[in-house]
Amino acid sequence: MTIFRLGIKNVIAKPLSTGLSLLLLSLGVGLISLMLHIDRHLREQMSSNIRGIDMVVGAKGSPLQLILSAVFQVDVPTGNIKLAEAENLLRNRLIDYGIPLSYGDSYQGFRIVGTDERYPENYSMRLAEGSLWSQSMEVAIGAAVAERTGLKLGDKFQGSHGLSEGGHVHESEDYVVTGIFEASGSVVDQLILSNLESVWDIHAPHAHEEEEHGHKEGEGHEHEEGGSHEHEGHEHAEAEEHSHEAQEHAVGEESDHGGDDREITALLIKFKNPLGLVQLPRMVNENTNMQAALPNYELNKLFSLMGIATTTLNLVALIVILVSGISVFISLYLSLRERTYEMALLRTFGASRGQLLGMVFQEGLLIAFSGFLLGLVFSRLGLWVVSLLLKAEYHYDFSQTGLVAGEGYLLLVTVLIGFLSALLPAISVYKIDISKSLSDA
Amino acid sequence: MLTTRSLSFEYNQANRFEFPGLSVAVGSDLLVLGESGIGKTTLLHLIAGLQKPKTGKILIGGTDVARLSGKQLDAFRGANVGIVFQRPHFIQSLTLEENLALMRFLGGKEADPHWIKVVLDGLGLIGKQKSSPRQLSQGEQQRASIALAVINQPKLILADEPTAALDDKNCHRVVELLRGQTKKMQSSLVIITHDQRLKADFSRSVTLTKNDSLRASTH
Repeated sequence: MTIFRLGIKNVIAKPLSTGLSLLLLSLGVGLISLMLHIDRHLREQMSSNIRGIDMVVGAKGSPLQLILSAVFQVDVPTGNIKLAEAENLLRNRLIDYGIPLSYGDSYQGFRIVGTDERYPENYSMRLAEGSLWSQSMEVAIGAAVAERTGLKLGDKFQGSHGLSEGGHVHESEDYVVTGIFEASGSVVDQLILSNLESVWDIHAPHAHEEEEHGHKEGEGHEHEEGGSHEHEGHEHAEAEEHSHEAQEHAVGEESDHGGDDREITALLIKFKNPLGLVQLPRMVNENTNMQAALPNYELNKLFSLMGIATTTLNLVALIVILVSGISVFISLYLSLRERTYEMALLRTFGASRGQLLGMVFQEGLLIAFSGFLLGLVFSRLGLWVVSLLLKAEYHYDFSQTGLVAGEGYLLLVTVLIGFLSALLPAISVYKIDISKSLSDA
Repeated sequence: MLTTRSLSFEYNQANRFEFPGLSVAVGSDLLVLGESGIGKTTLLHLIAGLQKPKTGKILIGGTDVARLSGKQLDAFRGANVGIVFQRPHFIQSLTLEENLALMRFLGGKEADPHWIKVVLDGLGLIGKQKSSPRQLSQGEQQRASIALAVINQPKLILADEPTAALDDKNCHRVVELLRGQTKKMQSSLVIITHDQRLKADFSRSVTLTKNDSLRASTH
């Protein structure tokens, strides 16, 4: 039996007050640690989703909404832009490439996005099965979509209008699954990708219900190819070229139909050189009917908004930790008043002032440290629950639960509070008058 | 073993005590009698080094306790002096056994579970090692506090009113236990009390009087 073990026994001997202090402390620590982790995960997740995208061009509106809808696929789009106008912009020599995105439909809440093969390429998506679409109405689906909807290669399904569940179902048109992507943790996991034509076809204003599929598809292709080909839209070889040709030919070759009305929702743009960052957003915003938004900039704005919320929560948690510090202090102080005689007894039997001083600090720090560890356990539990929820909802991977740097500071704060709460009781123990305490008891 | 010379102590000008010399040989015992307020407990605290005398010397086995201070004094007290208090007190968060083990640690003695058992056995407390002090009966607590005092085999055992709350029968039993244990440990025993019943049990006794002096008496 040593003083060190006595300190531990003393803490265990009063389970109620120790329990209260531990509960408060671990609650505060757990909350802050959870915030740290969620914040970090969100940042990582969002940053990984904007890779390869320097600028997003879409319809006028809120730039944040544009980024959220076009990059993170969470908000509704700001509207559509003319394909012709987009094509025009892509001729700018500062632009490396632009990936078109076109929205319209969804299936069981998953967005059907018309784009080209550079979009999955940008996220380094690999196909687990099958291949990319080769013609209109063929789709490649993300891993989360496959898991949740149970769609398999070759399955057919009908999209519903709008980006949320419950829209009008396009009964006449069946999408066919030709490929399933491997899970990547990026936003593509949540998407059903098709070519742009699929979106145009299904929403073509002159597409009547009575008309047979082939006809409509044919018309769709006439648009892209400007009538330069016969109705051969079904042929793979040609269909693969659509997206490129669409961009290259659409402008200036729109004579057949009296103006190209085709629209896309947004363009994800990669600059050729950094000068683009300076010139292009301004040029687009001032000289065109479109809007340019910079993901990095908008994301930082979003983070700083989120930062206010996290700071508030962290403050609350910090106050909880402080209160727990006070609870540790009260518990130590009251128990010391009860234990004054014990302290005098220990001194009588040879304990030095220093030893008892150490013991009181040890008791405070022990509670602080256990509270910290318990808090980490709580935060991991919370993180696990959040990850279960998010996995079901977004297929985002939240499994990394290693220590983050912020938790080091948290440990320092916790230990400091344990130390401070023990300071006064320790001083009173140090000053104890053995003779008087023994006589008073 | 214990020798004090011209001890004095003052709380303040009005509350002054003077204690003439005491001397107890190795293995022998001494009864110090005195009424309440005469400074008995003060004397005990001075001898144990819990308070500093204003003047005088306290020699325990050749060491002047009055000259020690701080850690040295704590260590010396832990190793050489055992105290039985008027009311038994323990560390409540520890079992009886752990209490004794802690006192050995504080006294700088090595851990010795066997010795702890021997002491408890000698005091009829075997089987109570794992009990919390609260669970012990009054009599058991009294004996346990003797166990605390003797566990480190101190040179000097001081007892402060050990019999004040006891009836005649138990009074003499406790004294016998104290003397028996003291003999076993080859310690010297000083009992400080107002309890006149004990006078018959001791060959040497001194009585503290109001005139700031000790009147030694032998019978």
